[in-house]
Amino acid sequence: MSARSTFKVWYGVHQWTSLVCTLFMLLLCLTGLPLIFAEEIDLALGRNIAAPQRPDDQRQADVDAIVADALARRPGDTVQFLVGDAEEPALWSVRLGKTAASSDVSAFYLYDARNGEFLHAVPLDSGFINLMFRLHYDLFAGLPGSLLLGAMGLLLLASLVSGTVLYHYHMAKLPFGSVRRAGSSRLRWLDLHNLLGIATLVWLAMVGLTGVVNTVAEPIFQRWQDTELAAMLAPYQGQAPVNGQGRAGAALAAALRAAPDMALSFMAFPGNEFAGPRQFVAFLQGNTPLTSQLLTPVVIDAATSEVLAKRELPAYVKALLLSKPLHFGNYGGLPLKCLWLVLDLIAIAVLVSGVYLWLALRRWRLPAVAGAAA
Amino acid sequence: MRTASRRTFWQIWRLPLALGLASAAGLAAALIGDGAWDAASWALLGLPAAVCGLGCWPSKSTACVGDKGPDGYKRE
Repeated sequence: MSARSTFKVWYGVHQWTSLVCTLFMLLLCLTGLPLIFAEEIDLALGRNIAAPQRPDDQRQADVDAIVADALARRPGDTVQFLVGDAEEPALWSVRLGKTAASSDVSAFYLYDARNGEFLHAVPLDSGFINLMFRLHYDLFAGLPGSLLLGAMGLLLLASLVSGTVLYHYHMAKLPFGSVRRAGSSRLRWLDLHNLLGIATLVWLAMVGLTGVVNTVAEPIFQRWQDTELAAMLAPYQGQAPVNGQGRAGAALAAALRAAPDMALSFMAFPGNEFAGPRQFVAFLQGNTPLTSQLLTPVVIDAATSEVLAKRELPAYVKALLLSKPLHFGNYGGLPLKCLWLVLDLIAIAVLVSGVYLWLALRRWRLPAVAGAAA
Repeated sequence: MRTASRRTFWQIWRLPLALGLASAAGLAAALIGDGAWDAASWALLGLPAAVCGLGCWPSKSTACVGDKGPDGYKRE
């Protein structure tokens, strides 16, 4: 194949993969902008709160008293999870549902981890960030919506590969960074599209790839639950259920004794889909930047507070957990979030210039194609 | 009209490769550690962003290089 026809094939691949996914990618880039700062925005809007300043910094509140207070606020409901946060050790959160096994949430309460005071009820399924998240995550269409966005992400990756090949042709006679300002604005935008795209290629590919991985997060977790977690809990199936009330503090302490270098990410209460009928399952996170992204499940007997099992997650779940920070950009402080914002804006510029060039080059390309055929 | 000479593979790709490696190292650094690792991450990931900023900066210095346009395209 001649260089010219090779170029035309790659041009076609780039054009069509981009055209199909561009509108979705614009939606994802735009809704992604506020999601980078979701925590900060929720705090500013009062939908979430930071731990109040207190002289004592010890996490010494009685977890069982916190659980009892949460239940008293929602009579008839059940505690599903106790949630911690290694970044914010001054807070505990309690998630409640109609039943322990239900995957629906009825309330999410924040407590001061130092004195056990009730602090805040987090509003559920509403607000600006929730709207942005649903548009970004599943288009309000559940798993099919997520998978559609994942397929668009695969097209984006194909578009990045073909765009990289086209860059080679584009730069055949141009030094790096050339933005020709003489002549038509189409030429300038073509140069800018190439420069912005190639400079941010690795970031775009990483965010695109981890985004695709995140669209299959639910099926992956489900598979882990159905195989590995089910195997950990198999010996206890069929036992008469208990609700774990009054036993959470002792269970948590036992889990942390079994893994002294770890902290609680969340603990599923007995009867929950992540726990046994009479067993808590504590999901512990490590204390380094890398291991804090990973989880280790620990099964604890609710009656005796004995640690029954503890095992590492399989590699495919670890990969899924590590793909989250690399997509969100929330793992290197506020400056990293600001860089994510800038790179997201550049991605929008690449998308918009691509659409502009497609419209402009349709006319522009014709003489060249005609010339080649002659 | 002056025709710019063809560039070699290495000439075309050395800077994109350097930016790609800097980006990848920047993405990894903040995951590996805190403090200095975070700062290294900001500096490395800042490089591609800075290059984009320079490219958008109005200047006449790069005008008219390789005026004939890229291979495969043809100006009217």
